[in-house]
Formats: sequence, structure tokens, C-alpha cells
Amino acid sequence: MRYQEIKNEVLAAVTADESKYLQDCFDKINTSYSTNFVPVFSTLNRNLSVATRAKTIMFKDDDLIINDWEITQVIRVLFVYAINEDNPDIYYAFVDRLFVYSSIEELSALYASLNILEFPEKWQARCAEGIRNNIENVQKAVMLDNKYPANYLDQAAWNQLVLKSFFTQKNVLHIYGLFDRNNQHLAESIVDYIYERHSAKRNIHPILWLLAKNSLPERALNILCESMETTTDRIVQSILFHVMLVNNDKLKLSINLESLSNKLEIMPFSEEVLDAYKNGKLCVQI
Amino acid sequence: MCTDLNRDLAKMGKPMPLDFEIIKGLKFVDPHIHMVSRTTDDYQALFDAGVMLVIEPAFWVGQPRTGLSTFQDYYSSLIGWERFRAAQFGIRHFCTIGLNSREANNESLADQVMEMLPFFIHKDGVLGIGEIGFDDQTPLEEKFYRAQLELAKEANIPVQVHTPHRDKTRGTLRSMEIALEHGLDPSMVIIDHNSEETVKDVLDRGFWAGFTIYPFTKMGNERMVDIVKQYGADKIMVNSAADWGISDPLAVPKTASLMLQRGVALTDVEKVTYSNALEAFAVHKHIDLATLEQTLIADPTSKFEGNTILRGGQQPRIDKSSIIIS
Repeated sequence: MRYQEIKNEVLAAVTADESKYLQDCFDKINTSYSTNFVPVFSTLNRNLSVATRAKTIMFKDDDLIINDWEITQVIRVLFVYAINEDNPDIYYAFVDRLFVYSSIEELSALYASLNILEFPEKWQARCAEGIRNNIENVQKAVMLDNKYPANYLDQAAWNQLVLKSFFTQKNVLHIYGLFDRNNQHLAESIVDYIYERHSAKRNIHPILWLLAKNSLPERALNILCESMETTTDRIVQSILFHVMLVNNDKLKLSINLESLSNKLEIMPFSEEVLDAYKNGKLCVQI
Repeated sequence: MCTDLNRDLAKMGKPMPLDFEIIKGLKFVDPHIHMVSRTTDDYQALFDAGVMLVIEPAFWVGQPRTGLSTFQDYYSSLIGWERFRAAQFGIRHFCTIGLNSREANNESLADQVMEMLPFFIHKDGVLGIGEIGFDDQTPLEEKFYRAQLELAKEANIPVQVHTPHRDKTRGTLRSMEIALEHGLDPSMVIIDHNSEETVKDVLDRGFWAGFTIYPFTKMGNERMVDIVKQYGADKIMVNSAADWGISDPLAVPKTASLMLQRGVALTDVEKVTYSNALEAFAVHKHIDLATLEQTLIADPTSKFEGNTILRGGQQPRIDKSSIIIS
């Protein structure tokens, strides 16, 4: 983690008084985290102005994906990183208690910190617990723009993360490692979900098709074709058409896919299509 | 409270139609309401009636807790899940954290709770210590009331004081004397559940006076109108204290409506149903009060496939006039 650079970025974004205050906070944590961390961590909001708290930070880092995070979240993550304790048991007990006594904002920051916590393998159960949390911002902190789940979760917990992200309507393309950790078990659960959505006459998220594209039974392929007929958005069409092409040999279509593609002026599937989808550049609401 | 009701219909007042037209556009704060005991319908009704912000004091949940963990989970829910739930309905949720008087009588558990309180009182969403004070007025209640006053003084945060149902006047006076003895500034103490019998003593000493509009057992809002006419609007606030009993979460907007209909000045109504509570609990230290002019968007960045899913920050509503559920 590029701790000092991120810290500098934050200090440059706050007022001179706030910068001095924050530097004092870091000094206190360095002096004795065991006595000073909790008061510093919990009272952060009330020591920053409303204008400062409204700021967000973007930063490219190897361990963290700081993508428009609230500045208070970045500061809290920096505070957590500043905890200096060599004994794994003492460190774990201290940080785990922070989770137990946390407010919503603190909990989000703690989950956002997972990938920079010491002794990373110890936090798998805590991460899985975070996925069960029912508070939107906490869920987001665990699921989205966070490298820890992809790096450390076992397959069962990972699959729960992905499925829950769809159920809770997250922007799933912000899940780090979404396609790299795709697996057969997940694909089967997704097909089940597609059937359920179809029976309930509800929309089917196009990214579901991408994750299950190599495991689609006949019934699912029929639903895919049906979705293609009713979709008018070009980006979604591009995604669905890509999945149809992958399954071309299994599709018993009377029409030629290439001619359909030309007729509908479907965009070729690419990273740009996914980026457009991720950034919400849909042409129409699906 | 559900028990020992004296439901004398003759004393329940003459019904008046529910008409919020007169308070349309007004904003309200309910500075004492136990939302953990209420339904989503209540949140929607509060929002529709103009309640922008609620304060939920930690209280007795209807039966005694027997372990520290249940206290911990309860406090966590006040700063976590309940706060989030309220935001989903467009309502800003704050709380006060404390050990209530009834459970102060379990000394060994109360001692443990006291050790835990410092972890919670500085959290986001916590405005002060509450609701604390006397119920049976036992020595143990006094011990933990004093200890929590010291905690509030040290943290420099407001205190929300519950006054007893039984022997109320003496209990209220004693609560104030002890607070003064501990050096608390009366302007940082809200004495709650007042009546015609206690209001003068509370105001004379410089404390905030809370009035709970709660059917059958506490204040009725017709009496409240008379109190505001007699004592004015300074340092007075009304609340619902709605909980698991027969109570009314719309007590604040209903009382505002009644006050206006009975000739109380609009500026006074705004004080006792909105601004006094914000001032007493120093809400400006926690949020920009200007944001109360806007509808709360639970999560403005929440997007689903590029489309905002929470229209106006609200949870979608069910059509109550239809038997179809989809």
C-alpha cells in the first residue's frame, strides 16, 4: 500500500487545521494504538467540517481500489494501516473488536481495509460475515472495489458474494476478480437464478449470462433468445449476442446469427462494452 | 406502557379529524421515539407527515436483558441497522446511548454495561447519553444515573433524562438536583416526560423540558396546547416516545396541527416541534442543518445498471388499495 502518498493526498484535500489535527491523530496511533486508536477512529466525523466530509478520493494503489471513496473512509483505512503490532493474536483481537463495536461508517472502512490488514488469512471468516451484512454501504465495502475476497475467500464464500451482489443490485462489474474466479458451481447457481427470474417475469441481469455462458442448458438458451428479442439496448444486445455466439452450436435457431447481428447493428463484444456497462452508459433502461 | 391502563372514554377527549393540510410544508423532529419497536409503515407515515429526523434513546425493551451481549447488540443496532433502516425511508436517525433505570437494578450486569458505554458514546449517530434516570428511585438507579452523568460531563455531550411514572414530581426534582450536583450545565440536559406539575420547576432551573404525547398514560396533546400557551415555547419540545405499547408515532405532527388550529403562533409551533430539539441535542455538530431542507437520499450513489433504483431515496411502496402483490 502506498501509505505515505495516499496520506499526502488526503492531507492536501483538507484544511490546514484539519491537516494538523489528522497528523496529530496519526502520531497518537503511532505512540500507543491500544489507548488512542478507538477515540481517534470514532470521533473522526465530528472533527472534520461538513465540506471536507463531502469530498471523495480517487487513487491508484496496488492493494486498494480507492474509487471515489469518501475521504473519511480513506482516513479511517489509513488509521487502521497505522496500527503497529507484531503479535498476531494481540493484533487480531484488537482489530476484531473494532468490527464488533463499529458504527456503519466504521464498519465500511474496516471491511474496505481487509486487504491491507496484517495476517490476511485470519480475516476470511470476518469477510464472509461482512457479505451477510444487510446494510448497503457495508455490503458495498466488502463486495465492490475490494481485492480481499478474490484473493482470500474460498469458493463457497466467493460464490455467495457474487450471488448476493446480484440479489442486492450492486454494480457487479466493480467486483474485483469477477471473471477470474468464475467457476462451475457458481454457473449452476446462476442458471437457477435465471430460471427463477424468468418464472417471476422479472428482468435478467445481462452479466449473469456472461458468468454462466459455458454452462447453459437448453431451457436457459431459450430464455436467452427470448431476452435478446425484447432487449433494445445496444450494450445489452452486445453482451447477449456474445453469449449466443459462444453457444452457437447448441442453439437450434432457424435464423443465421451473423445476419441477425448485421440486421440489429450489434456492437462487437469487447472490454469497451463491459466498461460502458460498468459505467452505466445504457441507452435505455432494461 | 401496556399495563394498568385506565381507559376512561370520557377523559379521552372529543375526536378531531386527522387533517395535516394545516401543517403541510412544516418540518418536524421527534426527539424521543423507539423505532426498533415500530414498523416500516410507521417510517412511511412519519416521512409523509414531515418528520425529518428522529432521536431514539436506548431503553428497556419490554423485558429485562440478562447478558452483556444483548446490550451490545442493542446499542449496535441503534448506530447500525436501525439508522440504516430509517434512511431507507428518508428519515435521519440519531440516538442517545445509556443504561436505563430499570436495568440499573441488576448491579453486576449494570457494572459491565458501564464499562462498555465509552465504546459507543462517541460513535457517528450518537448525540448524547440517554435515556437515564429514575424509575423506582432505588439506590442502584441513583448510582448508575450519577455514573452516567459523569460520563456525559467528561464527553461534553447532552443527557436525556427519563423521569419516573410514580412519585414523578419528587423524582424529577431529584434528577435535576443530582445533575446540578455533578456540575452539568442545565442547557445540556433534557428532562423528559414532563407534566403540568413539573414544567415550571424544570424551566426555572434552565433545563430543557420534554413532553411525551402518549395516550392514556402520559400527556394528551390538548393539555400540551395549554402548556405552550401558558409557558411559551422556549426550551420546550414534544415527542411521541412511541414504542411497543399503545402509542402514536405521529404525536409530534398531530400536536403541531392541533396547536395551529388552537391559535398557537407558527414560530412557537416550530420551536416545540422542530428547532428546540435540534438545539438541545446539538445536532449541528453532527450534520449540516441545511440538509434538513432536502429530502434525504439514502444513498445518492446507489445505481443499478446506471439507473437510480431508489426513487427519491425511498423504498418502493406497496399499493395498499390492491390485493395484488407482485
